[in-house]
Amino acid sequence: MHANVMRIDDVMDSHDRAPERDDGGLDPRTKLLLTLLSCFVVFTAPLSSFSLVFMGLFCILFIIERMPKLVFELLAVYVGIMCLAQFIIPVLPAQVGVMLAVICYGGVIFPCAVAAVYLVKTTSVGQFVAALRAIHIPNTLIVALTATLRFFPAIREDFSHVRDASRLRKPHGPQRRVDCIYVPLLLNVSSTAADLAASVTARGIDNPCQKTSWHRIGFSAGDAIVLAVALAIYAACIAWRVMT
Amino acid sequence: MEKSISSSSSSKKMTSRDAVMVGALGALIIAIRFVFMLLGGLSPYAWFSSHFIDAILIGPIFMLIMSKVRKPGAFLIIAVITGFVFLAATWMIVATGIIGGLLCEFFVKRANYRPGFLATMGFLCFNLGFLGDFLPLYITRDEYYAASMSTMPPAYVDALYQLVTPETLIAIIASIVVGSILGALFGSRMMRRHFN
Repeated sequence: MHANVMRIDDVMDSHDRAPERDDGGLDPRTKLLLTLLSCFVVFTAPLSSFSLVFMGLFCILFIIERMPKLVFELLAVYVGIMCLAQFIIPVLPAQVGVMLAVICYGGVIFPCAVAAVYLVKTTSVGQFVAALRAIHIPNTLIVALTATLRFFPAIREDFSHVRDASRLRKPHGPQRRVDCIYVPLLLNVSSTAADLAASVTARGIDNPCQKTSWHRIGFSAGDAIVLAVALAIYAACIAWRVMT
Repeated sequence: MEKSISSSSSSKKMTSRDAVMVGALGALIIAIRFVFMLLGGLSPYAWFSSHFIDAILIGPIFMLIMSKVRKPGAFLIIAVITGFVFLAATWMIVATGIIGGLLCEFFVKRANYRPGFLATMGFLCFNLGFLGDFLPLYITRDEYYAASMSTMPPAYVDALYQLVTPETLIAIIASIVVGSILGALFGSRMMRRHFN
């Protein structure tokens, strides 16, 4: 089985037309570690220059992945939050300022958010599953996680359909209104899930044999460099914390 | 009747079939938490009360998962995935989520996957597992306080920090307790009326 898959992969390689194959990007496991490290840096030294350096690292990674537009968008949001905290909140009355405080808190944890955006935007679900299998996450958890990721867009769509339909019926009272959204939504999601479960069972997801993946993942020199830089930032961050 | 509402796989352990169901309904739970967390961005008061609304709205989903899967592990998986999705906000949700999820599994198993007092206790633990959402505000309090003191007017920072007190945390926990009881009642009622 495994040998077969490998041979098909090699054929695809020789024809050089495999759009979904990884083309020199980081290993998903490296991206997961980076996300964790960004959280550690932010909670070791919130609002410090270390967080900024860490964000800079992600900006470089985004540019290497050819997503400069996203860098500008993220930076614009960050600058917006910082301007709000620095210039707008001080001139507002304290009562209104408190209202905006949580947005400022968003500025503190922004590097983690950037790391998460990087993970999501540059990793396909297939790559992610391959990585989780490689670090021996239990299969049940992987299946559930994949189902969760698959259902997010479906729930949004279902929700808008159900809301449109319930508008026609004009339900009265909060209780009835919640029922009219909730019951069809829950039924929809659980029946779609049952169909999906039947489909994946038919494709042999419960087969206990070793699973193979279309995506070949592995550590490369790039992973080593990025991880070394990230660990160095974290080490500097801890050193700074101990010193002060 | 018990047969008809449980999922069709009959093994004692979770199968992939159950995992898909858990993942799908778990996505709904995470979506609700996410929406109210974003709405919480409007003001600290909205943020602090978001768990109360979460608990009420998640009640029916909790009861549905409980009656459909009827195997240990479902809520622990959802707690772990929730923690993972909110990793960007804080890693502490993973830690509290695992503790809450384990306690929840314990109670729900004792309840034999039927609504009632024990299931409500399980639901309460499940909701308390999301308390990690607030912990960084308390744990990084001093750093954040010092950092905001340097950028914002002291009067304003003090007004904010009057909110970050142990009393507030107790009030939040109390609201989660009340919300969980209401959510469990709402959920059992909806199960009885629409899903049996």
